[in-house]
Amino acid sequence: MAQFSLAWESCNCAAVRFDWKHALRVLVVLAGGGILANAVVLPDVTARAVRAPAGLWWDWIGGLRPLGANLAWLQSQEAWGRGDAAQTAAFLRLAVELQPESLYFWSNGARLLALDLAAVADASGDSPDALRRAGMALLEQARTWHEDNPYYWVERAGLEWQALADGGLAAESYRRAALLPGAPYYAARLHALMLVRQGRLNEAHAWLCWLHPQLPAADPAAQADLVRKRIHGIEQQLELPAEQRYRQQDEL
Amino acid sequence: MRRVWLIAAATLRESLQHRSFALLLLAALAFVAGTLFLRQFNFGSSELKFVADLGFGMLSLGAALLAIAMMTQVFFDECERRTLHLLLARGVSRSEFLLGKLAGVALLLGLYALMLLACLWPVLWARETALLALMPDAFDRGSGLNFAGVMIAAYASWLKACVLAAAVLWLATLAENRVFAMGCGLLLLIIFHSAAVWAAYGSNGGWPVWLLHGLGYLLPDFGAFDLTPAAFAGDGGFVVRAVRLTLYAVLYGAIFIGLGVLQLRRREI
Repeated sequence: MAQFSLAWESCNCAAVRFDWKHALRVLVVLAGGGILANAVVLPDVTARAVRAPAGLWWDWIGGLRPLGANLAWLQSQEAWGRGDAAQTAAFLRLAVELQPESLYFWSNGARLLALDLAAVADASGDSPDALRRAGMALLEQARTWHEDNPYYWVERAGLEWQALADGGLAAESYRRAALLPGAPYYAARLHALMLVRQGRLNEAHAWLCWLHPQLPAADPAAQADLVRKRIHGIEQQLELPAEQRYRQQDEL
Repeated sequence: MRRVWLIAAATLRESLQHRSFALLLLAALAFVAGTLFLRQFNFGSSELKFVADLGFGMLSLGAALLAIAMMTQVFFDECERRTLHLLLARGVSRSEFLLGKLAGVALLLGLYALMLLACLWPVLWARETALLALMPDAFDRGSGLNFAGVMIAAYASWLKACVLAAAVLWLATLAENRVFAMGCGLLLLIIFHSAAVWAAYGSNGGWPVWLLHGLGYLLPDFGAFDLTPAAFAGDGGFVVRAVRLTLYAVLYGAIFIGLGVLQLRRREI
């Protein structure tokens, strides 16, 4: 205690002598006021959605974070142009730390590492596998921010399919994307496609039969007719008897 | 009360003459106007949101820096010119003096926020009009600008700067010199923005949760003052939020002024 007082006075910055009683009084006032302010006046402050701490360190520059993120992104592109994987990854990390709420930096960054840089890794002396893992790891970090975003799962599925060549993982990610509100119609179709490619025809058939009645016929993006054709195609491959084949409500 | 306003008016007059105010204001105005040229960097968000983020970012950060610089200047100017002795000898209480100083700087911050808003609003309006002409369907779902929301977001930034000014005033009563007070003020700006970070470390099991929650209760959370989404929202939920934020800011302002008064009594003037 005495040493702390001595250090306080020798730093020559404070105009008052250190006093433990006064310090305690300050703490009590701050705690009392803080409890009143945080628990009574603004209770949702302490319950504020907290996701990844890394990005939040930059909160103090406020709305200037997007500018910093964009500059870091441009730097990462420049490093990518030079084939410098380490610097690309470093700038990508800075970009996502500055603006973690934007999926753009996470998804494009992960693609840059796992696909683009991994493709030229041998020439630059980097390990393609390490780069693919780094890309997937970046996307895994994004999960804490974008788990509810269907496009996150679509992006993840794309990388699992193209970079890891793992159709099972990709199928599961497309399924998660398709079940989220606001999901693009193609996510559900790609889930079925992944299942077919893995030879899981029964699952693909069941999925498409569940999907088809929900697709709006008037929306061309939904491609209800295409889904119908795929159902028939799978049924032919499975050689299903007529009573097990899919029929629309109006056909029954 | 009259004495508080007299001190506030004198503080405002004095602050307006500081070169740092004029410099920061000009730099901020130039930056806000320049966001029109920076809009091509909007990779991660929509263009209008990006421009709004930059504008409010400059408003918020500039006001915070101004609060730190001006609060320190006006307090130490009074100490060094010995006018503080004169005021206290004439029966002005310590709380009146500190309240007057805070009110003066708060008025200055309000002036800064209004001037930046006067520059930002035409910039946002011009971009929205241009984007609307290019993509008439882009703002169908109420994603366009909302003037009341823009005002609320700017008001929240001003409130935040006022709380910081009060905290810096408390620091100034404790500090020996202005450099130390300014340095600690900058640290406070970062620390007050870190409440969510501590909570995240606690929830990840990094540090003891009780310690992090305790820290969260001790200090204001400046993240709560970010109402930029209000600029694009059509509902009135943000008005309620702004009222509660006002109470939050007044409470923390009172806490820091109270601590400042306690400190000033112990200070050798």
